[in-house]
Amino acid sequence: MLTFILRRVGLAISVILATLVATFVVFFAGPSDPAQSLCPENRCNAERLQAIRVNLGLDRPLTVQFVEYFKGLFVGRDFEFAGATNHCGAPCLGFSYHTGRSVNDELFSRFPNTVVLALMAAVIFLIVGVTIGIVAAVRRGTATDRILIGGSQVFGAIPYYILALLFALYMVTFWRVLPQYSSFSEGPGVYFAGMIAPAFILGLVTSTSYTRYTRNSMIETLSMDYVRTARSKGISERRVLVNHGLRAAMGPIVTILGLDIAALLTGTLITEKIFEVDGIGRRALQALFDDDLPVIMGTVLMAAVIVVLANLIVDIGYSFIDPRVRLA
Amino acid sequence: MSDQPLLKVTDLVRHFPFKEVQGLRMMKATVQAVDGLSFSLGHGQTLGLVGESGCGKSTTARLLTRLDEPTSGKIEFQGRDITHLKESELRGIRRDVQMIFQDPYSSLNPRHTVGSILTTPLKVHGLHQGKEKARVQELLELVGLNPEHINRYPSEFSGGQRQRIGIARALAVEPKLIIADEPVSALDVSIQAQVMNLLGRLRNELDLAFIFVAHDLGVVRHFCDQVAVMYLGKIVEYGDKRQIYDLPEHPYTQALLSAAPDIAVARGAQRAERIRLVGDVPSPISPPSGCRFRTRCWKAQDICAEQEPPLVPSTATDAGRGGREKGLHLQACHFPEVKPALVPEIVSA
Amino acid sequence: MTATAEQFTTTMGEASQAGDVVLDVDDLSIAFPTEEGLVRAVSNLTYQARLGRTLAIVGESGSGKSVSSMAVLGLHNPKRTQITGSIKLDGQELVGASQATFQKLRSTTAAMVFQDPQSSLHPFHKVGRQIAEAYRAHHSVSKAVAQKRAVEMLDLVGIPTPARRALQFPHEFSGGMRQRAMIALGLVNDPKLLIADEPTTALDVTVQAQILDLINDMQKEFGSAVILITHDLAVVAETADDILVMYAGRGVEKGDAKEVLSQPSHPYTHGLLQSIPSASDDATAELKAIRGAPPSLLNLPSGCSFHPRCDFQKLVGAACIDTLPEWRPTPGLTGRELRCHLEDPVATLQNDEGAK
Repeated sequence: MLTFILRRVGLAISVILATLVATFVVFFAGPSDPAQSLCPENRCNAERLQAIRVNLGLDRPLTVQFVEYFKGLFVGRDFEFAGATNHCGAPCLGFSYHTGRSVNDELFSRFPNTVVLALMAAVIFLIVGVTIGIVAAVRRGTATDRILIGGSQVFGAIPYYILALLFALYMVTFWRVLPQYSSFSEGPGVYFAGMIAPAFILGLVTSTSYTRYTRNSMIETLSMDYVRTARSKGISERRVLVNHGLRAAMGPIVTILGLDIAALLTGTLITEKIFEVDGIGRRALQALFDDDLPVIMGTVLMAAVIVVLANLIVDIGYSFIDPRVRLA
Repeated sequence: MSDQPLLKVTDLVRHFPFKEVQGLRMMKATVQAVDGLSFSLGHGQTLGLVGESGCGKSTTARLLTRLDEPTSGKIEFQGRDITHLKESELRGIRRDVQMIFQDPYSSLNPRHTVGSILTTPLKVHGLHQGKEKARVQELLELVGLNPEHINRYPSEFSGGQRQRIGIARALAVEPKLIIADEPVSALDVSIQAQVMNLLGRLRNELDLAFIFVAHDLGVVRHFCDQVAVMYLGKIVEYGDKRQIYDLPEHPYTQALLSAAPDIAVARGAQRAERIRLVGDVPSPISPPSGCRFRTRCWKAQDICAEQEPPLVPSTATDAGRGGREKGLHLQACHFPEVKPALVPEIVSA
Repeated sequence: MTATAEQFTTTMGEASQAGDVVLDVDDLSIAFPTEEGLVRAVSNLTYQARLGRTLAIVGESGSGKSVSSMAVLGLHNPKRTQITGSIKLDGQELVGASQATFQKLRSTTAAMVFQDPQSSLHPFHKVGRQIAEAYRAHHSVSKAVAQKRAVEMLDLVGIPTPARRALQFPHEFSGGMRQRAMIALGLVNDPKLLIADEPTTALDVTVQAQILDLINDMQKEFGSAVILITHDLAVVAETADDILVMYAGRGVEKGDAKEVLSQPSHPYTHGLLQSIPSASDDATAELKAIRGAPPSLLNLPSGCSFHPRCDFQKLVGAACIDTLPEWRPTPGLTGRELRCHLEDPVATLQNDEGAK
């Protein structure tokens, strides 16, 4: 187990480093010019633009910029801006070109919103998806199965942004069945109530793939010899299905679940945008429009860490589900 | 028969290395699938390889057909060293040595017709050019299938018929040696006999030599001249089938014969002694030191753990049965002792 | 019975004794509707299993030997299976019985040991827990008591250090050990009937011998009836008391196992026996094989299903093709029944053997 974790941490670090370098190269060496998006050409002349670039440190060689950035991550760095020196402690992700706030603040103030949305959605898609999947598997070949699977396929086939947009439009804006998003500072009650609409539609749409995974995985395990053995013991059918069938079917579901939650935690761009949830995804989208390089770097780095961690947790979790898996 | 054997195997070894993590260190481990096998086979002879799971009989079959390359040792076919030939140099060997597999369902490509399955080897070796179809029909007839079924797919045949197709494919290139790996064990009893008879008839008509890998002692006794009993990658006893079945000397051979259920018991046949081994065959990853059978052997002494018993000519059979004229009888036990009548025999009053 | 077994013996109803019929199968037919048509897996099957005796049900693949015994435990999906006739287990009719009925009798009245111990034990649950679960399903005892019972069962089936082994997972067991654990699981509720479906087919020869010995020992210990389903006549010769030979879903011959195997009276049994090479027989002449292959269960031959492969059909004539032979006592033999039109099957088959 210890060897496993050590090896995996090593692997994780190299993955994160590679992501870091790749993102840095793509954005800093790419055609984007943060100076121009801060001050369009019709307002700023070439001299002024160059001054902005010098101010942001973009005039220096790429390698120097990278070393600076890298240093900031581990030991922190100082920024001189408009005569004042701002210290940015490790892990320093820099300051937003646009808001001037530290990227750490920008991201961590929004991260809880993304986490709440992701977890609420996960609870919904797990409960709905796995339950429908089990029912469909147990009643395989019957009308129930066909209706459930057909329905979930139709639902899953509609583009998500259309469904989410319609849902927001009718349920939140027109009919006001569900409240709008409001920030946590306005009180936990309204905050969580505002999360219901985005979490519900996100969870419901994601559940369609869980229905499919669960049904397939259950059908496979229910045909296994050990399920027949369990049944021949005279235990209740519910116990056969849950303790023996579902227990074995959970393996592949847990694997996908880990990766899905990781994906949601790195920000659900469409959902956050449509329901105006102030999360990581929406902030990243804004940063892309603004050529706000430090924020882009920050979100990518955070996503890389989350995905790598999720993979690790999934593998460790899997070893608890399946005793035959020895972590090595 | 010429002096030179058709097939000569010397000290054949196949180890499968793999990595295993133990604690903080990466350990290199090896599956000792085949570990020092030596035997030879004459033209038209049949050698049976018997043993339980992990004994290396199927790995041996793959090595002899050079579907797999030995770790060390030597395989000579008609005097030519084929141990490490490259794929391009194996063409001639592929023609002379053919294999029949256990599973008639997975060894035939379901998308090809019988005709194309049987034509491919002819084309590869440039045989019967321009008359391939006639040859394929002749082959089908030879194995007892309807030559008109040339355009059918494997799925349209029963298990026994598929095994006949597998046999026809092996015979297409007119081999001298056939390696048959459990050729009848996937078949129903009533079909087994048909396929056994077919193999026997072909062996006589075409003067084929066989290496016959099987776990069924009855089938091996019926079909083979020589028998090699294997345990964890080594031959523990080798001899003429009468020597092996009637006068076994190695405790493992004795246990195997005694454990195999035999239909003759219904006719009142009885065993002189009933031997029951304890436990299962150990893993071939780290086999026991010295004699590999010692962990399950009732005769085991200290020496068995320390020294590996060599495969040596049996003294008892030589003395008792007129020696070498009856063929070589080898065994690898520190304490050999003949135990007759471990297979059930009718006891006359 | 040892103290261990006695201590846990559940109520056996009115005093049962060796020889009592535990399972009475009468005119049982099982069919599965499929897209290609009706698969007639078992047709008009009749047999009995008795306490203290081992009945071997023998046949090739597709003979219906496993299908018929799975029906005893109600393990077929009722929605996809057509079952007619009668299965009486310990006096209780099971054809048409509810799942609740089956749930109560599984493991307590009838239990099953399956072919492949590797796939038949749950890979994620500890061995002891799997056995304890079966015990708790029928006894209101604490987990600790059930676990103790599981350890005792493992001990009984010859697993060394059973307390430690009970806490291991199936993949930590060897093949033979796993099958011992399956037998422990089968016997944990002291069933009157143990059905062993090809229990040694997946095992090595030397381990097979151990497991067959164990089944015999356990039968003596528990006094239950055993049904041994196998394709291997040699296994039958060494272990069974009675035999039922099946072909294409029907019984064709039944009687004392050793007698049937030494003097068969049905042409199919006769053919099977002649096609098996014996390890104690040096003969290298051609085996006498049965020609052709078993029929498709979608499309069974008329009359006697075996007639297209039978060498003696011409002696009888059209009756074999037109009429299904009924069970009747074999002329000249006691305790033997067969389904064949041959007038004097024993003499006919003996002549055939002589002519060989």
